[in-house]
Amino acid sequence: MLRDSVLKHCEERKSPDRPFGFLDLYETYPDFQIDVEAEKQRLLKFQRILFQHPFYWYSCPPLLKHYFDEVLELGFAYGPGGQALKGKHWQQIITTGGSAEVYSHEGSNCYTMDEFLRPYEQTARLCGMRYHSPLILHAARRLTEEARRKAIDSYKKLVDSHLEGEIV
Amino acid sequence: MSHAPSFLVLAVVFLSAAVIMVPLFHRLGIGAVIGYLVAGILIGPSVLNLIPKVEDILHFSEIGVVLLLFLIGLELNPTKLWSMRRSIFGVGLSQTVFTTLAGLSIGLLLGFSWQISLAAAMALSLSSTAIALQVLKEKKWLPSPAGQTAFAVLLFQDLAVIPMLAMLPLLGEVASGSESSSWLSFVKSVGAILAVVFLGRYLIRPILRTIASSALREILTAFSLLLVLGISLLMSLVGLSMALGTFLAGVLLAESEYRHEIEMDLEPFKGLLLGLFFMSVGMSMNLSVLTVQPFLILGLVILLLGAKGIINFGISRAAGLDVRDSLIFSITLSQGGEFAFVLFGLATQLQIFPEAIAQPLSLAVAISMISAPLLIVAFEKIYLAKLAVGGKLARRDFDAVENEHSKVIIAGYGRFGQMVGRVLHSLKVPITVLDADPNQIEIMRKFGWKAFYGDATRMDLLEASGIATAQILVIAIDDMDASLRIIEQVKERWPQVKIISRTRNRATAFDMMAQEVQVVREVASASVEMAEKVLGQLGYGRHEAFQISRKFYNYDLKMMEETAPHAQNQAVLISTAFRSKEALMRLMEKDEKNFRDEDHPDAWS
Repeated sequence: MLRDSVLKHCEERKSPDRPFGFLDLYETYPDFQIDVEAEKQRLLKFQRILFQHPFYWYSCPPLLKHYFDEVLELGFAYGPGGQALKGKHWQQIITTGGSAEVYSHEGSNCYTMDEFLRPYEQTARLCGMRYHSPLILHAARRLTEEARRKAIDSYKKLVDSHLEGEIV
Repeated sequence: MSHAPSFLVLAVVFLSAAVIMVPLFHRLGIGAVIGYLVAGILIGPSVLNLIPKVEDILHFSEIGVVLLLFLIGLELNPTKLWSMRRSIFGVGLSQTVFTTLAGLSIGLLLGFSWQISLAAAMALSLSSTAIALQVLKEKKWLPSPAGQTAFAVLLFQDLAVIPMLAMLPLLGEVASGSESSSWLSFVKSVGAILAVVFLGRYLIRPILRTIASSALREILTAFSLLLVLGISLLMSLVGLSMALGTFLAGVLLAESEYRHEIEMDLEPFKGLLLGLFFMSVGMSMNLSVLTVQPFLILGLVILLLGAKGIINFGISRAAGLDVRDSLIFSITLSQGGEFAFVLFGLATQLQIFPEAIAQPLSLAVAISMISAPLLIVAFEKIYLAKLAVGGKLARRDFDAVENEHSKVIIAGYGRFGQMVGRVLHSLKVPITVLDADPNQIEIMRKFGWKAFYGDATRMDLLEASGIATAQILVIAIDDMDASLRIIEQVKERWPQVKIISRTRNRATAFDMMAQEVQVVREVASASVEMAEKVLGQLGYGRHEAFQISRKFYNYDLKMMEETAPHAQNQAVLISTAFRSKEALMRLMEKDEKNFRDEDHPDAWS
């Protein structure tokens, strides 16, 4: 739904000098057997990596975490000789169940999204990447039609600005 | 008695003799071949004299041998044949040459002319293809080095018959035809062989394709028979060995897609016709000579078996076979062969030697042919006895095998076992592989694996493979009964070895599990994999399909494990089957409910 309409948008906008790629992890690796070499090659090809995922238990779903564990190898993504991702951009698009309010010190989740997202921030930093604050879509299941449309628009705008190279 | 059609009488006599004698001998553990031979003796002129013209029957029954060779050719592949060329021309040639020389020397020593000695020696050097192969197949020794070498030698002997037949006329007192006739026959022979090759390569397969596409099964059978008989006819017209011709045809067809069809079609004919052949050999034995000169005959038999046996043993040891295989090789090939009868017949015709010499020799050959299966039985009993006691013979054999210290032994190296082996090999886990296919074993050995021929149900083979020090035995063979036998014996003698076995059905699985064997069901994973694919096609997400199918697989496995202790109890099994259906539905319902629960406001916050 969210993803599909954005995907269509991106397909329309891509071009040879603005390549666009899409990877559905759970469709591609349903048994968690990630083809590490192929994924490393994929990362090399693109400058801006966007991760779209729901926020399950203050983190990303297991397969995405597995992806980080497997693909961000020592000597490739970080550590001695690990320069492959240097200077690339990292941004997440996150959907949450809870509303924005509960993700605060006063709310039921006790901490802010920024605080929960430190691990990702640090991961990006260690890989020499530029971390950008995520686009967050709170209360994703209870969106009104209106809110949904606005969300899709924001998503599309974000992708556009990446494609145009406006986000540095 | 009124005029009963003679062939009907013949058929009834033959079939009765076979039906009575063969099961009897099989029961006694002596083997079908001897049963046929004795049946033949009984109905032949020497005892009951139920059959008038033995000669004709003998000729007719040669078709059995011819058919056997065709089927063997079919089961070979040319590359393998080429790879056997060293055995065929190395061991085969030396065996025939040495035996002939020995026979020649003995004949000369006994005061016979060199022509007689040579003719007799050549005839006697040949071994009975039919009997040797039958024995090897029956005892399942064909894949072993002994069997393979014996087979190569037999093949060579078949080829050797041609020059022998050609030489006989030259030995005769009666001048053979002029130079041109022997050239003519040479050309004819070459022509015939080329015809067979041409036929096999270019004509037969298109014909087979046409017939096969018409789906008339019986015509395919008819064509196969026509092929064999036709080639035999061609070969006999030219004076070549019929068996060689059909063997060649078989080899040419071995790689065709129709091989299995033809094999199946001809198999029943082969069995019966071979039996007929052996019966005719029995019939052609003139026992009166035996009663008149018993010691002469006995002496001849012992001389024949002894001399050939010793020469064979020497040659096979020189060729690198171990003691056990050399013994098998020597005994299996020490008898005389059916071609001896052919050569004797021709020799008498050409007046190279008189009947008085041919008869005792023929008898000796026939008796030696009977003796081979008996000797094998004796050998087995004695050798196996030595093995059980761990006698000197046995120990030396095991020393010949490297000291094995593999952690894992895989019994059965077909597709199932191979996968296991490859996984382990990639991790450099030391493994030993057992299989009954010599090609497989050869490939494995090239890779430096420890691989052995043989029947994994043989405990001596397992022992030689180092099972006493192994950690795990993987049973990956096809035959569930054999697997169960292996498990029973291994558990008894080497209980510390962990056994993991392939299993085909629940009954076998339960049986194995009851003996503390870990089982892996042949088909379960694959069928679940298929279910997963179907779900994918139906529009389920790949991960969802994966989850569902794995869940089902694990559930099914758990059910099986829970049922195993109750395998004997039918009632429990039935109620478990019901319960498992119920339980599965509940399981699936629970999954659905979990999805719906996500609508709850507190579910994802």
